[in-house]
Amino acid sequence: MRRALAGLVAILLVGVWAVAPSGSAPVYGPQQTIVVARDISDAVSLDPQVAYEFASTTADHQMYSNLVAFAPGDLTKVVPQVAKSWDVSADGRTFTFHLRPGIKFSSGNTLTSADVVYTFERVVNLPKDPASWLVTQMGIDAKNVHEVVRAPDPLTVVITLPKPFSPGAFLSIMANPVTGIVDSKTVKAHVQHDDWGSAWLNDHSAGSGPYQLVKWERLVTIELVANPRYNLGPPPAIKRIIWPNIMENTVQRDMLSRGDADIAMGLSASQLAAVKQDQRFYVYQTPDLSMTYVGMDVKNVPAFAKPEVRRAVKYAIDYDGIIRQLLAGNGIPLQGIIPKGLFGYDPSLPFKHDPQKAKALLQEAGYGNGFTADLLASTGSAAGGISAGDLAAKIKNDLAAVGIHVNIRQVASDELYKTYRAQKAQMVLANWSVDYPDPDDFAKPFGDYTQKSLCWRLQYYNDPLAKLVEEAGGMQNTPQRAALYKKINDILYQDGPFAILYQPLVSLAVSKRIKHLVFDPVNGIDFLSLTKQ
Amino acid sequence: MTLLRYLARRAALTVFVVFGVTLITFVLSHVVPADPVIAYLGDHAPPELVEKVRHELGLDKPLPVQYVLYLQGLLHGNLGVSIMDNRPVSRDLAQYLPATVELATAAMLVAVVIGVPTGIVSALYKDRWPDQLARVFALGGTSLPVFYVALLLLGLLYSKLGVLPGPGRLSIYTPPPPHITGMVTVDALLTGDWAALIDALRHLVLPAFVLGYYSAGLITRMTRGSLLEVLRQDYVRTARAKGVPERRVVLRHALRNALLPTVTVIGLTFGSLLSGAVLTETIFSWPGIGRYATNSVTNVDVPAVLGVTLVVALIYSVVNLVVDVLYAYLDPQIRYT
Repeated sequence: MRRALAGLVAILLVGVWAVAPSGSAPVYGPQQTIVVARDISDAVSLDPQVAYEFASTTADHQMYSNLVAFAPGDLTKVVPQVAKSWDVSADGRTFTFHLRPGIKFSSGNTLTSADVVYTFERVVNLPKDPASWLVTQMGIDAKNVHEVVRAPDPLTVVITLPKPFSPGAFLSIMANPVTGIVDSKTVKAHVQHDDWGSAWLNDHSAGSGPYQLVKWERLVTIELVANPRYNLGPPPAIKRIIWPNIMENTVQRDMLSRGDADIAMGLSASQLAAVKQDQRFYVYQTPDLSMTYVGMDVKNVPAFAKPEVRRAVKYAIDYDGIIRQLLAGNGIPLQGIIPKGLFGYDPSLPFKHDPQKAKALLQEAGYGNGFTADLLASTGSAAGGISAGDLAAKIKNDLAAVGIHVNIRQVASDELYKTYRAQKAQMVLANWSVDYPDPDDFAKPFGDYTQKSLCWRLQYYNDPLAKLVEEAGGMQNTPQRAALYKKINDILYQDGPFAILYQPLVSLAVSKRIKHLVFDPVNGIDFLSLTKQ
Repeated sequence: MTLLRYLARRAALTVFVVFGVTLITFVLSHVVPADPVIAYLGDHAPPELVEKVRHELGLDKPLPVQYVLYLQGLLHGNLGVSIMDNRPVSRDLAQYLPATVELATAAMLVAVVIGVPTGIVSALYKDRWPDQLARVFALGGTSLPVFYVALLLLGLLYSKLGVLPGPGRLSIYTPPPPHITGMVTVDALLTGDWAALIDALRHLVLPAFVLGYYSAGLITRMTRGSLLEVLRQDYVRTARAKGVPERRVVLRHALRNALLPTVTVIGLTFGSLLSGAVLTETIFSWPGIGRYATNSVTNVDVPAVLGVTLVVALIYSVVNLVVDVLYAYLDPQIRYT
């Protein structure tokens, strides 16, 4: 009797399992939903004035509009968004934005200049804000924000920069999610304990972008749905965007092949090669606005004080080998400090792999017998889907061939940065990526030591170069500006402490059901124009 | 000593242990040569911002002061604010702990339901083919790396055959049940949401098996060895001599004694499962405290590290206590001393 009962229960369970529906009918089905499988565990906050990680800024970019924007796929020109036009004063310090009337937030409130002012107030007042420096570097802070950002009428915003700053860089920061405009009335209504509404913005959105937040469950998913009140453009065909948190790229690949994900971001070089062979998918690749480099500290290693030695290192490196073999093609050659895709990019490659030349230079500098140095590398991955350890080993080999003995010290990236930022490294293998798509964003860290960024960390204090960087920073995108950046690159080629190795490619594995996909490293995937079959 | 006095003494000991654990963890976290502020702000942050935030986080105070402040907060039930998540650690734990409890319980159930019968069969058919098969199975559990088993099974059962769903606790198109306990299966059961319950159970199968496989291997071997030992005892021979049917000899007389060491193993394994299983959680996108603990260590997020360590220390203390009490209950020869 008991056995019969057990058997019956078993049959029932199997039966229920077999006929179990996959879920109650959703509002938007798979046809109008895009699922992007990637690692979103780095997201800290969805508050646009605080978000600084890739996962969170990508989501905020869809939910919040800015004064200006970059057209998807073209990062050299700023186009109107919330501001329909703007005037720049002769000295390049005062910007007057004329707002489009009648723009609606997802709440139904109308966007006015007061919302823009409130957005800036939040940036300079929010504590522990990783993104704040993008704005405060222009000299704007909690004390002067009301003089700097003024709203003479509901459709005009006037920003007067307190100190000279690159107009191109300023405008690109106005296109950055850190200045994504929030619905001040709604956010003010949800302030708790003086937090400027930041906690509430982790679970709700208050923007005028094409999408709004459904939910963010940390380590699980970010889900957006179309904003029904969006009126800055036509409504998107895709009504729902889901980023499930998939940290393991093998699992991303599995989801892609089962159709549970439409796009996978994070596949390794070999997985991408396999996807390229599969008829159901294609690989979308574009250069990332970043570069991987070897840094040489000019004081901690006496040899690196000599520019000939620095040049010798640049001749010793086998760039082709790195890109073709190690990266399996997931990188493009770059030796300048401005990546491809930005104004000021220099395609010239002055250093070919030439160990003889390297040895000759070392001899000339008095280091014919070579020398020893420690190379700091991270225990994680380097850009382009390879491990930093493998890349470091390759560098070590290349340098050993010309007599430079390298000791690799692999440490966790936090430890690497701590040492590097304290000017204590000898050699470092690192990556620098874009904050805002203006050449100044790269020229300053690499060339201007007064910024206390990359060249400062390597103790490379070059005053004439710093002045050139400052001068180029203050210009608009003219042939004269391009000439200055060419000069800056030339100086850094011959004298600089950076051996730029490559510019990595961003690769997306995409289902062939997805059409009209446009992706760039600043805007991310353009969900407004893509369609799904 | 009565049970109550024993429990009280153990509770006092636990407080002592927890205090010691937080002190050691605190010291170790600050010996690590990494900077939690840079980990949080990212490498592009200018030095002025780093120092400003360091001050806002109270990390520029002397270490003993920081520790005392932490203890003060602890006494008021305040576990501090996680640096990497920018919200109270208690909220983080409240979000991630139920998922781990759900997964660990399911894994334990799988391990026991597979392990004990397999161990029994293995013992009864010693050296014959069921025993060999069971021992290979157990060997696989204890030696195969968990991520290997996970990726293998996912690749086969999800990607190739499609009989089981992919990562996550629920399918993308299943609306989650209202949050009551934080365990999706329990919440779905409590609110009568059968579709969500079935979906959640289907998603639980693979990670629970993968996680439980190691314990199943252990339990199989323990049960087998222990049962073989017991079956050699005199009282078993006496029972057989009395004419008791073999099934009753094994199940009613031998098993009860044989399971004692197994109970200990089950308890301790459950404790270790409850402290999180980062590899399984990573592969199946299961938002548990294993992943949280690893992230907090990588980011040198001291409040989070301390919070997780505290919780895990408490879990282990409670589990050990339960196992000891259970053992005494099962074996009348044991007394509390």
